[in-house]
Amino acid sequence: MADLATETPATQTMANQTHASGTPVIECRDLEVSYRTRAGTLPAVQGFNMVLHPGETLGLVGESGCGKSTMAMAIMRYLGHNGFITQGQILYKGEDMAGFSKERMRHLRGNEIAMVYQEPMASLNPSMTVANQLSEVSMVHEGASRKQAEEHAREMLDAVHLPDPSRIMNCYPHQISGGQQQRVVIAMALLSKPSLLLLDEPTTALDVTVEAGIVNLIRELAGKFGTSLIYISHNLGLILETCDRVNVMYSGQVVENGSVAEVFRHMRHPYTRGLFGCIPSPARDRMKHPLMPIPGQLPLPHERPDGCFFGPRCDHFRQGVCDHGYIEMEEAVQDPPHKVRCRRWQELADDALEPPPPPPPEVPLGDTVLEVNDLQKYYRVTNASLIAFLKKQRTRWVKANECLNMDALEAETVAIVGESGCGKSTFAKVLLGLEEGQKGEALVMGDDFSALTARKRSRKQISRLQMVFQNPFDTLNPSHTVGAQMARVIRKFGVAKGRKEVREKVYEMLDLVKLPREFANRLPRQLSGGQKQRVGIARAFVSEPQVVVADEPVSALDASVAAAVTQLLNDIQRRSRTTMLLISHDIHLVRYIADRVVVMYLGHIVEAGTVDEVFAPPYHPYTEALLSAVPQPDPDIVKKAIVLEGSPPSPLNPPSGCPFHTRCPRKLGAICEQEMPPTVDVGGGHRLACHIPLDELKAQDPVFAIPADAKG
Amino acid sequence: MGFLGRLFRAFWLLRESPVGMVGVCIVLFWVICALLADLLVALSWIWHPLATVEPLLTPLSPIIIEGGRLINEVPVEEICALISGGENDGMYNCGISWLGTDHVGRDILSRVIFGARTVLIFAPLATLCAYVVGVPMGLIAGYRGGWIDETLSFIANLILSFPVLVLYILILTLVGTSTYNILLAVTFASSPAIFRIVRGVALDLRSREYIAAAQTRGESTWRILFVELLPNARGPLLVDAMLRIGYTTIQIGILGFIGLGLPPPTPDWGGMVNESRQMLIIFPHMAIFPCIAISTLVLGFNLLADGMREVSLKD
Amino acid sequence: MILLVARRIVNMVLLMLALSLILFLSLELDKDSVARSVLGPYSNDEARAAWLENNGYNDPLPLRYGRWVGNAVQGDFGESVIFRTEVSEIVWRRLKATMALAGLVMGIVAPLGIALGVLAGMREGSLRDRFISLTSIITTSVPEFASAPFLLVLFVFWLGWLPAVSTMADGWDWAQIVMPVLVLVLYDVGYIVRITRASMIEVMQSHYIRTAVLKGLRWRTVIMRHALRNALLTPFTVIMLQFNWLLSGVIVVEYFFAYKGFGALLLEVALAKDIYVIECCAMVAVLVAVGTQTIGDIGYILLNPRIRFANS
Ligand code: SF4
Ligand code: SF4
Repeated sequence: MADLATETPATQTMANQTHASGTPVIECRDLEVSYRTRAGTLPAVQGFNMVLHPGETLGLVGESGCGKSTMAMAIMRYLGHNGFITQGQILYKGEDMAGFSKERMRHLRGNEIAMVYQEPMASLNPSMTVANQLSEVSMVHEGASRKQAEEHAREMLDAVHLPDPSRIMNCYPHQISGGQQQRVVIAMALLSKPSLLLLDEPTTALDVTVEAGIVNLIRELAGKFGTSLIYISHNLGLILETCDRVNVMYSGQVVENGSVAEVFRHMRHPYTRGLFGCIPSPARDRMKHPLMPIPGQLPLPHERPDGCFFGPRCDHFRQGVCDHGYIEMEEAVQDPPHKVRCRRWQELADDALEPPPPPPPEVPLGDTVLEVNDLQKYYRVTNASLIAFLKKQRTRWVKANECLNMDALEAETVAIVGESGCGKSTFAKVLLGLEEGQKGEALVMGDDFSALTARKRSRKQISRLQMVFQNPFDTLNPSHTVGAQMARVIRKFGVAKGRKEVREKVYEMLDLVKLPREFANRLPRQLSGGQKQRVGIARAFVSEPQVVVADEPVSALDASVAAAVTQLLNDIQRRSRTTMLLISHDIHLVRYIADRVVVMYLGHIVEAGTVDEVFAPPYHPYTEALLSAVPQPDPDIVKKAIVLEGSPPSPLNPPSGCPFHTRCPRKLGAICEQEMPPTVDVGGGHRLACHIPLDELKAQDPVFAIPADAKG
Repeated sequence: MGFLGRLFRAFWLLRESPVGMVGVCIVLFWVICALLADLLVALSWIWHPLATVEPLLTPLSPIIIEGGRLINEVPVEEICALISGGENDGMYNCGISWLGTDHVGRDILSRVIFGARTVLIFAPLATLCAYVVGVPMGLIAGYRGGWIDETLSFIANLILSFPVLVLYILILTLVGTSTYNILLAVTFASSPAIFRIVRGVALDLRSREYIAAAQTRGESTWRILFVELLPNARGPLLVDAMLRIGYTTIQIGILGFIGLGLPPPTPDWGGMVNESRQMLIIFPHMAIFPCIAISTLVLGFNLLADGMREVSLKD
Repeated sequence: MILLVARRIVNMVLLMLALSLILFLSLELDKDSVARSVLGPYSNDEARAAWLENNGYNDPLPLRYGRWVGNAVQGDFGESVIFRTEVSEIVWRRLKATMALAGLVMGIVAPLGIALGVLAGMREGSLRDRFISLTSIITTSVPEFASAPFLLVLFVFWLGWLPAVSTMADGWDWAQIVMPVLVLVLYDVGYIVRITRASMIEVMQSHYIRTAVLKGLRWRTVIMRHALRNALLTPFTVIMLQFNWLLSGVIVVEYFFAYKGFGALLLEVALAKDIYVIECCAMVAVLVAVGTQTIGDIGYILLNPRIRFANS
């Protein structure tokens, strides 16, 4: 490490200890974890200090690659064969873990320190029943008999609110839903009442409404068992909802830490602020507070600059101040403690926030470009079970889309929101001609596209409707250069001919999406996720389409990158007056960039209207739950807590009556189970489908309330 | 350039893997033997593979032929002096039969070297033929699915149900052994395996978004198969190709060994082992050298494949 | 699940039918060649014509095929020309000898291959892994007809421990079976090692193994309870496919060591064009291949809970 430290790590931790009593459960002192790679030994985490007291919840937040998961693995001492603790110590209840024998570590793992993982399905053994996987823990750590262990496991499944624990005990992991799997993993972690629970992005793989349930559960259990938690997430909102204290990490270092309330109210580090500025919030008007992406991207471990690692992306970078030496954590506030790793934090006080750029001019909307009437799409699946064969029900239908009605105007952005399995992607596929619709029509500039697969469309029709795909790693062919792939589209649609013109056009498109021209000669694997997604956008807009369908265009990207891509997509779309259908699960992103919103559940449109209409009462009960489920990183927002039970039913077997009745918190009774609610027009094109009388719905409180005295 | 360039890159990356490098060296050694067979034979005083001297000489036997008559009493050192001293004025021909001669008096070293040429022409050629048949079918079956896939897969299963050698024996007894028929039989027997690999890769890749992008662009099936899908399958295919050349080498050897191989005078390693079978206990050298030859060549290809797999995982 | 199994069996029957048709057509479509093979190359035309007439060869093709299949199912393939006995009898006698050989080989190869594969795949890149992998590559690179002379020279020529041929002229002799088994084991074991190793490596990198380790289980328990079961699914089907491969090796080895088995018989009759025996041998070979493959597929379905309990 570079310069002489002004404050030794030991004294730092001493200072931290003063406010809490007893030995901390876990303590990291000036920890450095490195991986040995072909490029040499690279530190993944540097100068990490942390103290966690019994019963406390600590959040680690940062974007992918910042070293937060490495921390969890370092505590578990499970770094693979190429990872090492190169400096510092981890103390467990005051003892240095470096001295622990293998046997001691084994006793610790799963017994005193337990972990919950990101992907529940992959974390459970596919060929063992839940009962076997759970009972192992008590058997190995407590020497319980199989019977006792199973009894204990059943109790624990009950404690994590799984319905019918006895049935689940006998299931294999693939037989239960993702949310249930995660509950099983949590139950497994809590079986031996550990003193420390590590949660590594426990809800990232789940739908928002399911996530809300898990988060609730974690909070409840931590209180009940008195377990200390380390909660690792990329989501500021989740951290705010679950933790007492937070460490914000960037490129292997903690850049800011302190109590949650303090850090979220008075962010001091430019990175934390930047991260906050990247997330659309219901409290901020989208015109007055546009998203402010952080430029650039996270440096790779061997590309870290001298001085501040955030320097190259920081708006407040100052030469001679930020670009040399090792930057120490400095105490900004003593009580509640709040530290920052920034040389200029004092100059950058709360009010020094840069003024937001002027809002973009409103774009006048044009004529109807897209019109969908009663569109229906079922998939046929063959059931291979003998019972189905005997009952002559071999073919069943997945009811992906049921009676969709919507339209979109020129230059308008219409968002389709819903969780996985709601049929939003199927709808996109039908529009694009990857699937055929069965009934109804989808008119694009008057031509019915619903029954035309891409192969049957004329080149002109194809060029009218283009798509931005979801997965940046999949959207470009890894075998061809970026330029070649764009050139192919240009030629295909006859946008330009001749070698030189095509090349010019490629450059022009790269300029449009703000990528350097050299990228034309690169292969996709040399680009980052955000850059690939930009190429995808360029490719979609080459043919100057009337309609662009964007299927979760930023869901796989980190927040700071996602904001920039969202911004770009929005700009290009407005400028070229293209109609955009934005398919997303992120209702706040939608609110930020869409004009109108369509909310889907299980193949049905449950609510549709302009952004303002949908985000204010009257709500459809599902919309209300969806809005409340998304965690918000703003401590000033007060929101209704509506937690849905269970997970969405399978579209193979949709419930009768209202599709939402199995989970609806406001369910009226028999009528919801038997009758399909009519779609009523609330006024001004705002439609929703629910049996609850309109007046009652109108009397709802808004999901979000912002107290008058708070900023906003 | 693109495809060839990347093919070259795949080999270039091999320098990272020591195992792969050993494989490359072995294969290169045999390729050089095959290319320069005539020259090597001339330089080392080995006979033409079909010329006969004295049957069943043991390795390192000195040989002097004078006026067509073999003189065999001179010690090795003198022969060497004769060769290096350049005193060979055309009166007599002399040399050392490094690996001995076979039962009809042909020099084994020269036949092993020429055998390399035979096998290094046949094995890659047969593999190539199998690829030409298997790849397009696998692509179309994996990409399209449905009845095309089912029909092609059924046919492939049909062929794969025969133990390979049984299939060869049946085909070759039906149509007779000849160079072409052997090529045909090998193609017929190994293309279903290639079909399966390619089909698997295509099946996996067809749901990728870049394929969807090509479809929504209205690209032809032909273009999607060969421009969008095939280049992404090159990793597993290249590894398989190396393994398959090695395997085909064995197959051709076995055919030679059971007497269904290339017609007699062609120097063929398998055939050489077969001919020595009866005399193995007394004159093991006749069999051992071609055995070493074929084993090292196959090993070379297998190591090459292994190195490639290792490198492609890292890439 | 039962339907899946049933489907595999139906598929197997279909495959067998198609294969028998192909065989029948390719060998018996040309009636004259059948007669020539039975009556000898120097028989005259009339004799052949009369023979064909007497044996029902002038019936329509579908009828002939039907009759042929019917007989084949009952094990009646006619009479061998060179052995002058019932085809099924001679084939059965030879098959028993080969089954003994193949059984021994499989009995060694499967456990050995799996054990080595698991040991190697447990810690990828370790010294043990490298050693096992390299050895297995080397042994699979040496074809049977090459390793046989090597071993022969070593054990018979130099050490003089074992007999050079395995004719079993004076009844069963354990010493004579060692060489053929050794040669086959050496060649076949490497493949199973590599498949098991690859599958084991994949499993060891999976998240559920991490879960198991971080649960605090003993390393042994992690391997035995969590890794093995998942890692052995693929090798199981591969071992079943191995019978198909083994048969090729058996032909070579039996030929080399003059072992009176099924493989040697097949080669003999193929060269002699003894048509009925060829038919019978080919059908048996295919039945073994298709049968073991079907067993492999069904086993996979039964062993894999993800398929066994699909959508229930
Ligand atoms: S030290 Fe400088 S570059 Fe780093 S965050 Fe602070 S102001 Fe920005
Ligand atoms: S119709 Fe009934 S079940 Fe459906 S959303 Fe309205 S209240 Fe809930």
